Amino acid sequence: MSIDIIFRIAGVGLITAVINNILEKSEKKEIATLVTLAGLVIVLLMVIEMIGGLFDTLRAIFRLY
Amino acid sequence: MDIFKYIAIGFIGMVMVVTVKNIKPEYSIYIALATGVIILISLSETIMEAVNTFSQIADKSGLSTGVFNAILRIIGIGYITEYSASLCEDNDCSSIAKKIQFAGKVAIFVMAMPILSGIIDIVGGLL
Repeated sequence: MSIDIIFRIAGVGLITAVINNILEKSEKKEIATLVTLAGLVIVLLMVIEMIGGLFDTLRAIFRLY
Repeated sequence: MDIFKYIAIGFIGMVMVVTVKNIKPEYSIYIALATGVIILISLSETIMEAVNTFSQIADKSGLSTGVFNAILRIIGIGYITEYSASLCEDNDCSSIAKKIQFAGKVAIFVMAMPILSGIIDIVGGLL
């Protein structure tokens, strides 16, 4: 488990912010909201996978079946 | 067990949370979550060793495995609830954090019932 995941999430956040600004400048507000949602969903899937792994390891350690 | 590695991961996560907070506040929650997960998973080996040594000690001391498992489970539940409750408090929804803590207490109480009844039987036997 390396820390590049943190930078990946931050990168997705910054990229969505940049894309939002570009889209707002070109008067495409609705696509901007869609891009934000897409970014959130992608990051959510990544984080949920990590949390699943964490809870599995904790379950294995503390025998929480 | 080099503590500096975990401190460094924590600081990196904190810096990323702050940088992303004023650009895109929604992502700061994910970064905080990810840092917590990374630190906990990299800690899991050491926790596993500690738990194994504890179980050996418990076996030697004649403690019944059921009680030891219950204690272990209680510690696990306490740990997970504390992790998620503090995460919720971090993003200023302390009401949700309190609900999680309450759920943890209920779970621990339910988990502790067999131990309680075991102790009562032992005490009854002594009298």
